Amino acid sequence: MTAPLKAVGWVAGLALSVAAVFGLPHVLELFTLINATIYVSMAILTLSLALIWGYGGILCFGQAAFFGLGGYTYAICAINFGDSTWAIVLAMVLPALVAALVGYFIFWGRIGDVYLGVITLTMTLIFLKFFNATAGDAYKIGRAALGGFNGIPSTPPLNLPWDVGTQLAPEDIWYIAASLLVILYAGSRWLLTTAFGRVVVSIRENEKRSELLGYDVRRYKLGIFTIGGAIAGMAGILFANCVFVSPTMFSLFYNAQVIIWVTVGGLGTLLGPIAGSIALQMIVAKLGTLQGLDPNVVLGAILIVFVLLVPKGLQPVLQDWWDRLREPRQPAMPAPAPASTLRSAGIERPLTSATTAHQPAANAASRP
Amino acid sequence: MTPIADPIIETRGLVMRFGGVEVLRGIDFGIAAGELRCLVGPNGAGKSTFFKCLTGQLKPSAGEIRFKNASIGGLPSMDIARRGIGIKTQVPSLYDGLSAREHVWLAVKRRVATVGGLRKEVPSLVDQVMEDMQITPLANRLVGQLAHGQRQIVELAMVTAAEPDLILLDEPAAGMTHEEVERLAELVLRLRGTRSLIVVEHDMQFIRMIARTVTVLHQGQVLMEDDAETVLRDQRVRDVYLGKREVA
Repeated sequence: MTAPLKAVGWVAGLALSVAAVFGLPHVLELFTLINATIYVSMAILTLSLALIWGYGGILCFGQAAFFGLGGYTYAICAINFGDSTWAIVLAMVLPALVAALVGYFIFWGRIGDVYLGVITLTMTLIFLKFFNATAGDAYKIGRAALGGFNGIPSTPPLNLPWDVGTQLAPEDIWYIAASLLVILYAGSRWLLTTAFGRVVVSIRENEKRSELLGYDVRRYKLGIFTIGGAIAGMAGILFANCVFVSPTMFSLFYNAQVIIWVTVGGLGTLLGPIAGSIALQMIVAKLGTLQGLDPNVVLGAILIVFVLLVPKGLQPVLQDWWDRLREPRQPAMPAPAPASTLRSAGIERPLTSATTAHQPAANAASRP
Repeated sequence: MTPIADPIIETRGLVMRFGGVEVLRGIDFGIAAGELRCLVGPNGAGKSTFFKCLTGQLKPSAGEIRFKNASIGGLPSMDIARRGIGIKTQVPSLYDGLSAREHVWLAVKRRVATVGGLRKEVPSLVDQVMEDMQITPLANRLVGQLAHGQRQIVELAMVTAAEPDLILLDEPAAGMTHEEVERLAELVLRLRGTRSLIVVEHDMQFIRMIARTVTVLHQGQVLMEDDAETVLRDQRVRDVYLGKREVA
């Protein structure tokens, strides 16, 4: 894309997001707006996985663990402090620290892709079991009862920084969540243009080559994994503000959903997974109102259809169409699907076919 | 072999075993700074394994590797790369989803980080390497979509852009057209003197174009070491290549 066209694209995108952020509260009912806020919080969680899996090549099966930790940290701290200001900070820092710790053992221990999936999955299941078992008075952190299976229903909403008196209304939380999504998306795009981001992408493409050039791949992987943990923590805070925290945040359901959203949206892209997650949540919510149809079955069917028929995911396919519309005479470039990059994707083949995992990577840098 | 006065890299009794198979059986080898050495030998002689030991991709079972007077045997690849050894692997090791320019950028960026230098200069240094290696027209092409010979040149550009003191080239001419081989030889000769090089190659034409001293590896040991013409005329070397069992 030419530079002016790119600038137009950015301005249009920004205008559209501002319109959505500030327009929706005037159009939607409160109930729907709260639902939309939940979708946005899940979209932020999806963004975190799109970043570490799609660009870092790290297939984390337990991304929701950081989401849950963010939520719980926020709830426990907000209850104890009576003020959400530091609770927010800690709810980003703690998941990032846990990601850094787990990542340290994974990357310094040279754990392979498949085992990385197993370890992260196990991690989230341990949290799930643990928080499920925290019923009763014995499990209190300060004034916050963990509540076992029921979670913490009285999760306090955000207040203005250092102003406990002014609690934020659901509309305000929408504004925060939606703006945060826009900011995090733009921030991730920026991150990928930095030297750090470019090296991270090179490691996904060919880890051994980056080592032979003298890069310490462990540090870069740990860096992107930790950033992903912090972003997932932020998603957890927002989710806690719309619903409340409970052990289901760590469940297999959430972990699997995020992976599906990224796959459908397009691995190696950012906008696709965000859009995919919101669209699929809307579809599943709609289906949930119908009788006799399990939304999970539909979600599974959508995944299978995408893996088989649209293995690249939505965004790359739409982008190809758009490119072809603009330059109809240019034949499609042959797609490189090298075995070496497949491995670095963090997945052998279970979710994606050979062309999937790495194809999007091709134009990764130029895709929104 | 003749001992080298001031070797940039030297191995003593280098042994690499895989289970019961001894692939390298005590290699004594060394080259002087600024030298260009060719390493030849039939398939299975241990050439690529030798390179993998030098670059830390394999940890030698026994023996010593010294580079610039420091022992580097068994260090991780990353550390060895930072000390100044670059390798072009036998199967091109590239980033298929990235542009040719990004390859060179990654190498220059790493060198600037190790050696120190101005970050602002990186883009112009990258342009310069692209220009020198005559790959500027390929700058924005994805390397996965390039022809084999072009990929080889991009990999060579990336390796040299990192400005290593010692460059290992594992079959750089493989699969290249005659013109490409000539261009490659020209590039390699330009590096000689400023860099030390070890080149593994089967292409005798190419060896004649670039080499002075040739080391022959056979069954994990150094069979002989001499100037190119002597080695290529040697009966033992011919036997080894043609597969004759008994070697004098």
